[in-house]
Amino acid sequence: MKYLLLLITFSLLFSCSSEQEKANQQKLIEYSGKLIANQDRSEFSSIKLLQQYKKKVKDSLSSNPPILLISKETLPDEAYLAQQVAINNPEFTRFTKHPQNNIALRNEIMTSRKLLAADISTNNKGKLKGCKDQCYRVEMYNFFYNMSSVAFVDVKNKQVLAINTYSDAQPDLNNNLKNIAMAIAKNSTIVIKEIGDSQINPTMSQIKTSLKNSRCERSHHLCVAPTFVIGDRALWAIVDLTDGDLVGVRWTELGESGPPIEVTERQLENEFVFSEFCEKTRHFGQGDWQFDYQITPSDGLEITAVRFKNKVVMNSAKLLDWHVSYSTREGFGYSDAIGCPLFSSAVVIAYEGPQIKKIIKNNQELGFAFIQDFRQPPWPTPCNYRYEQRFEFYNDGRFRVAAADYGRGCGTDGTYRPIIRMDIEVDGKSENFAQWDGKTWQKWQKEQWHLQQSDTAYTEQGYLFKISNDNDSGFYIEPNRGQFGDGSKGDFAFSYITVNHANKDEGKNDMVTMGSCCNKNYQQGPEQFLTPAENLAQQNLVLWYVPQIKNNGTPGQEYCWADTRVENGIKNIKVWPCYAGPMFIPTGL
Amino acid sequence: MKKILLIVIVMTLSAMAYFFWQQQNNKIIKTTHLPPKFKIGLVNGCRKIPQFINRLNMRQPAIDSKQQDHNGGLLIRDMSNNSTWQDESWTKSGYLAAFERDSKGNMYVAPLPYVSLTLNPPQKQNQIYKIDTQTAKMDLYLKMPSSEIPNNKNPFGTMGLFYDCDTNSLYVSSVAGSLPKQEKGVIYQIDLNNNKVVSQLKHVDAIGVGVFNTLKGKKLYFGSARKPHIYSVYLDEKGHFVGDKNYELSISEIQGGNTTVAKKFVFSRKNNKFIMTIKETEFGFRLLAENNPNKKKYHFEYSLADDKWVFLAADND
Repeated sequence: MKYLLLLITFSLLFSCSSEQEKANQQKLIEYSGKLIANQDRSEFSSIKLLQQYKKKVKDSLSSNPPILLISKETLPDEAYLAQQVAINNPEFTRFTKHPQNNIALRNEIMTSRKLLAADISTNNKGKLKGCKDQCYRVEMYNFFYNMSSVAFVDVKNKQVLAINTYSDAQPDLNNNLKNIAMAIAKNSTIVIKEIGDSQINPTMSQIKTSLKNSRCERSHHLCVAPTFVIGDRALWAIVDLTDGDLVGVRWTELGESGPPIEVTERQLENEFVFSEFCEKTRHFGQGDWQFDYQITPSDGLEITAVRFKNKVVMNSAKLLDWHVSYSTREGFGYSDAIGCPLFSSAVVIAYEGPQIKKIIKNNQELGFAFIQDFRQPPWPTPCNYRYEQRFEFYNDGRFRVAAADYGRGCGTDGTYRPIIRMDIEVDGKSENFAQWDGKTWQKWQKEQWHLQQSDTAYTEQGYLFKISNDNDSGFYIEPNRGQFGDGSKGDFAFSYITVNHANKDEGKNDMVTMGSCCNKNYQQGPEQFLTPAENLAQQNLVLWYVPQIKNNGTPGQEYCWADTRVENGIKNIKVWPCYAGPMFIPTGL
Repeated sequence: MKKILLIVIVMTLSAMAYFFWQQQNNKIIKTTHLPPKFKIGLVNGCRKIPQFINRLNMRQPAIDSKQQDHNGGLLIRDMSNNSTWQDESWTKSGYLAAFERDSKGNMYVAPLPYVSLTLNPPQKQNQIYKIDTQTAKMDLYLKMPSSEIPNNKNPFGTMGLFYDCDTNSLYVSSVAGSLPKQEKGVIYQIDLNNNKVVSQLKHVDAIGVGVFNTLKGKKLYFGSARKPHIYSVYLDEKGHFVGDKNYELSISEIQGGNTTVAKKFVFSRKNNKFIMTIKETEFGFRLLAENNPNKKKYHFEYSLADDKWVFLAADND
């Protein structure tokens, strides 16, 4: 009978699962508080508990040692004494300041309690041999290193008996942080939207709430998940206590047995980006601009059907690979594909969905930038990379297809070469491509490439190429020479023009790999479509653009670089991005 | 009438389900009747050092599969002076996921795309290579019997390898063809006597695999490619899979654990105790080239008393 019931239950569940899945998919998009835009951080600034805590943290950074203690009023006398003994031990406080510059790091005592049998392990049982009632366990969390230190204290003899440190490990929270976590979750608009304000406040009597473990594997922050159980489902709200912020929420089904359910930052971000931006094409429109976009398996973010005032100006733009070579190591480097965080052939992955930023110059809003960030999770540690695709759209019809590197790579002798493919649309059938030779526009007759150098001739306005239809309407192309105000030092780009074949895939579909990482000449990949060189007459064309950017890690001259600094006792990543990419200026359109 | 028909169908189905469930249980129970020569503990102690390594005259030879700072493939590294050696045929595999040795010193290699697909084209990923113990030459050993072909959305094929001396079997995990919402992976048992796949555990996306003779029988442990969970499945006296997978533990649940996945199992014996070491990796069916300084390995001790692996410690890999 038991199995009959089980079978019926499964049948019912199975029939409902697709409906449920749809509903859950719908919810994914509603993580937008942080996962899409990462903007709404002021949401929790009015929580009094958080305000008081932030002040205490600030004060603790100027104390010696810089440790936020558990207050005397909330601890039994002996436990408080144990805390005092621990923080006066130099070994226990060894990591409370930065080893290079002695800047105070953020530390907090999480527990001071009597020793339990479970605390004694093979590692420390020799040192804790004589412990009876007089031994205490004091746990401290270091927010900078995401590390826990545990001191075993004999309060009778006021002596630290043993110290253990655990890297990348988070201890149980003290009561104050537990309360803050709950307050952040309960005050989050996303949580309220999911379960309803009336259910959370004032007594929470209708729902069961608990504090579950979670992780912020990417930010390496202290995270925890207040969980709201409603019926046979649970809403996990991941709270980042390092920043005092909500990472996101996720519904899970409640299961009585089987593997544990865990919801973490990495899981949430990967699944969100994958389901919302990799598995579907989205549309975006602002002002006179309209386009579709999707994150590809290995060609970065591709924007398609780009329209200005309802006229298509670009069929597609994407970034196929980042070639990284190192001058002091011949043949050493990488071809980094950027793309989806799951089920892809990318090595540097999208962390969030695209962000939109206003382009403002002289207090005037000139347009907007559509930006996609890609990172290797351990960035900015050495030999890990972060890249950005940036599409700029201006109110006057100009647009720029740009990319940036944020370091940090495997050394200071690196050169980055992003492979950008653009299918500009000026005429569906017949497009002309011309280069300024210093006096006049010279039309290219055949597929070929060009290298932008120090002696390259530009028009007075800085234009190098022109792509146009037979009526001479189209776009001037202005390569980056550092004139765009983004700190760039110029593109020194290889440009290639190839024929856009309807019946032959020359980069239109997702390409697994494009050329070698370490060639220093024009052989970056697109040249394979130039051989043999076809006539350009009466053809639709594709522009390939491969900037060359040399990095610099010298203090004061950083370029394509990133470094970890201490700010308010926690890690702050300082970046020096290097931007590249041409501007397209409409003419006669 | 319709209602009656529905009840009849449901009852028939439930009876069938119960029958199959009983059958599975019977199979599992059979495994507890251990074969006469069954010995609790390690199953890969017979593995030999390849003959060609002895001829290299290295002082401290080690097999290096880390894929760091070179163009991929296996290396033999002399730890005394850090010099390396590689047979030219070894570039066939491109970058690699795992290697294993057998009782004759032959080596088996599973390819894995690392930084890009240039050296590891998708169509060549669901296969394993063999390095001959005498000649050091690498050749294609076996293409996995699957219709699933890796592609740019899941460029992976074979992932983990483990050799069992008791049955002269090589276990190979593969995730070829798996989709975001569909586990199409398979763990294969290859009989090295006849070079054929003799048993398969289907619908399982696994990376690391490892065999250990437990108190209740021979078990294959594997790490899910999707979650930090470790599962096991019983093997019969011929090394064939018996019954369904069983959940064992999660590396996210242990102290200092992570939400990564198990990429390799190493079983050893220290001070008369059996130790299981699990090495982790972050895996999301995308390329794995990042240099993660925080990678860990987790050590467990086998408890004979309750037939369980008890967590000991975690340290940096």
